[in-house]
Amino acid sequence: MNKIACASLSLFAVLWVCGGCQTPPRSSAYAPPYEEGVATRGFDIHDYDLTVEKMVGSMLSKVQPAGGKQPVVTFGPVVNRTNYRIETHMLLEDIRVEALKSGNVRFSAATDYRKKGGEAGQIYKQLEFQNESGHVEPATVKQYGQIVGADYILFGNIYNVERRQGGTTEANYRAILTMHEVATGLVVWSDKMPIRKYVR
Amino acid sequence: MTRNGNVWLLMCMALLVGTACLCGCRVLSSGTVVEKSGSAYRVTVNSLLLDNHIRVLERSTRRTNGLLDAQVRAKNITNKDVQFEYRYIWLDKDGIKLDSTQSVWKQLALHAKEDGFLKGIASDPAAVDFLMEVRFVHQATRW
Repeated sequence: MNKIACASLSLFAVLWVCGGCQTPPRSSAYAPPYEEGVATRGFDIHDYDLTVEKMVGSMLSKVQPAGGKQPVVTFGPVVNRTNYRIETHMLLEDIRVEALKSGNVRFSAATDYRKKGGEAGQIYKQLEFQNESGHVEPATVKQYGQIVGADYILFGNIYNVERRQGGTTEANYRAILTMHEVATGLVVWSDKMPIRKYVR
Repeated sequence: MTRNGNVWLLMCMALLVGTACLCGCRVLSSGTVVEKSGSAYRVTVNSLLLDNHIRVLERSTRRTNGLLDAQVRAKNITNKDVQFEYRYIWLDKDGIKLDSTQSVWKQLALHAKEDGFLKGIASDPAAVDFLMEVRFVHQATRW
């Protein structure tokens, strides 16, 4: 009887240990957002964070104010060339949030006056409203022709390669961002963020 | 000791081990912390396991475009490969932590006796100092 009790308790202890090591927790819970979270074959939140950290640090160490003026950067397309859904706008917005903290660069969203939606579209719609609707007090109307021209455009691509062996998938991602100088067309900065995950 | 005494001892030990391991596994982010002590930097050990694997050799900082650029050189002092994670916590001149999403855990693998460089650059020019946290990759080994 005693042996059975001892064995049962030992088994219970082992199961308890294994249960404690489960990730994520079985019950609903919040977790610190800076933790990796669940790793999947897709482009996870932690992958966004890693990419943003690497890219912002690299970009800010190359692109710097010249003659006391911060360069103005605008976003070109960042193309998702993977077979997973990737929120490229979120990636770019995260980059903008972090880069703005430095005070070394400025960003322009007013990139295309023909755009009907998004940040660019709203800016031009607002200008049109202020100048042409007759509803705005003349002293506060922002005049046409004051949009600041961007110095640089940021482009990018995100690729993935997957390999499987047994029950494990090796998920590889590569995010490459490139910054072009508008005036000359020259590439002034480029970097890549490779990510490799093993997912069961 | 009697036979019953032995059984009870075993049962208590099993429970103790189970509880200890459970608590260890629930910890999410404990690890070795590199922090300033006077003019030098020291490792505040929060993990005996990690401290027996990695030794922090030196730290370097510089300003790049007005931003704090930091590097810590660490050595795997064991004869086996070690996979761990690190992150920087950026501090302002008053030692207050800067709110930044940049403090994400980054992985690094070091082969036996290999030196590694743990690099980071603060996106906020207010950063003048840092803490560095280090931990094992696998949660079950974060004590």
